[in-house]
Amino acid sequence: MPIKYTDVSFTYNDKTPFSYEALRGVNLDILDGSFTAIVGKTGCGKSTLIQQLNGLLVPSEGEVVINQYVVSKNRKRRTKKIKELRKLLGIVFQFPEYQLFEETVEKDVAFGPKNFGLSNEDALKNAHDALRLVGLDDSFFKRSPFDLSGGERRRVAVAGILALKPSILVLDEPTAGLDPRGAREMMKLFKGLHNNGTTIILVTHDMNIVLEYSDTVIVMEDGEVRQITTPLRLFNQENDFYSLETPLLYKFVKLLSDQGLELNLNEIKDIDSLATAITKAKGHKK
Amino acid sequence: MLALDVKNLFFSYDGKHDAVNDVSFQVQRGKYVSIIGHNGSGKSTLAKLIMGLLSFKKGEVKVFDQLLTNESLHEIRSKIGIVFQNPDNQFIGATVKDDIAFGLENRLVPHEDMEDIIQKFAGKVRMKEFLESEPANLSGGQKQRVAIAGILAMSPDLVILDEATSMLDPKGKREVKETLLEMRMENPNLTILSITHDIEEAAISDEVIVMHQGRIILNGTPKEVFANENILKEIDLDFPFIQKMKKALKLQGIDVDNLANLEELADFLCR
Repeated sequence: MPIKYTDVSFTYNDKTPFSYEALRGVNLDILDGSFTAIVGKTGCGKSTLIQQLNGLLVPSEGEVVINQYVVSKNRKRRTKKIKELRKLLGIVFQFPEYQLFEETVEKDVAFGPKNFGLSNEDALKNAHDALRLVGLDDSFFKRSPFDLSGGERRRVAVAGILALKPSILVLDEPTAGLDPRGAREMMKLFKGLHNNGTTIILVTHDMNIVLEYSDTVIVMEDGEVRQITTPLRLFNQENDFYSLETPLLYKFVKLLSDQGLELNLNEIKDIDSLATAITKAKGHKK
Repeated sequence: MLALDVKNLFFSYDGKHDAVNDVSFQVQRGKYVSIIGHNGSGKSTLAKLIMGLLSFKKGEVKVFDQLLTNESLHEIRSKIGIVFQNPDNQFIGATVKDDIAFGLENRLVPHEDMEDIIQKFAGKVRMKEFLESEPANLSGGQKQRVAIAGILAMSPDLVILDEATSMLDPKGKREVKETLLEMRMENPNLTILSITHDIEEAAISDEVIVMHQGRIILNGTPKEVFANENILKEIDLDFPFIQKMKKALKLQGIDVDNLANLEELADFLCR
């Protein structure tokens, strides 16, 4: 069990007139090797939830355990090796391209590994590998990050985290603001990493991404975890309550089921599998 | 009547390559037109040229039959309202009320009329209870709706949306779209030009313009435009869901070419 939240609450500006309880009594397990999506309205606590994972925020109550590391207020329990934890678990924040600062792309990406004690050479090698992984070839290495397009800058920022070779990758709306092609390519990259064994935790508003990529969905509302489910089960219920947009694919599935076509939902993941399921169902009818 | 008549428009940022390259198109008054294409294809540049926010190298732009020149710029802008992508970049007032009033003040609307207008348009975008709220206390969707109220309060004949919903969460997107549909029902002469990445929005527009590398490569009804599968595939643009669904069904031997929407399709499949 790599990640376990136990009775986690978090209050911003605790003990001040501005105190605001952003998480309440969260209990949660995230399995090794899963592709977990976290969904819910703006302001429901998604980003606060993931920031507990590397000790950037520490639970006001309760604790988060990531492998052998503990994030907690409790001095006896909490890990002293926060740096090791941050190497194990990398977080890509919203609009990470605004965090670039170095004069060349490769220096920016190598900054992390160097900070974790790698030699200049090894850090650059890691950086180059990570940049190629996100689809930026050698011609980008010496360029200034500030001359790149928004989508390219986003890739550089993601490479900066990948250069640390984390085994758990946490992504806060990684496709927001990208055009559809850029978003597709970004998701392909994460899927590739997941296939190679990286645990992926993804905060998103895009339900098509949830349906296509994730195996587990955590639904949050008002600082609490409301459901831990699968995409399939999630879209089979009324979601207006959580302000989630059901993907068109599922709206169509619903339209068909409501009219009596019996579809095997477990077989439906995309348009092609739905077409196959429809053909099958129609065949049975005859 | 033509809301827009653009002829052989050229524009370049760097003097070397043309960001807008020989673009011509027309939009009839009252139409909802979507412009789609990848980032960097020239969509937003085109909108800025029509607004006179950038000045073009060659060509001509007519807005409601009036030629865009330095002299007519002010009058033409008074007919156009534009909503940009980032809700935080267009909230000017200290409160919702101030923000809607800002445009009206610029148009020299008498103070005693303002209150009524503000009430009316805040009501239309369902933001009446928030008139005294500060922008920091509003969600992205609410801020965009205030921006739309501010624009509509000036009763423009043409509204340009430059990816106006792309930074919003699903609920915000839906709210903004519903607001626009209501506005159109009320004023059938309102022309909307929407720059969007949302293929499903494009599919229900009256017309679709596809831009690629500064040029218009396709222009017509959604049906006409999305029929050009090879061209769209080549530039890696997506297709509406229903079209992809029909194609997948066809591969399975179910021919549903003549059905127009998902309801008809579901009816047919469940028969």
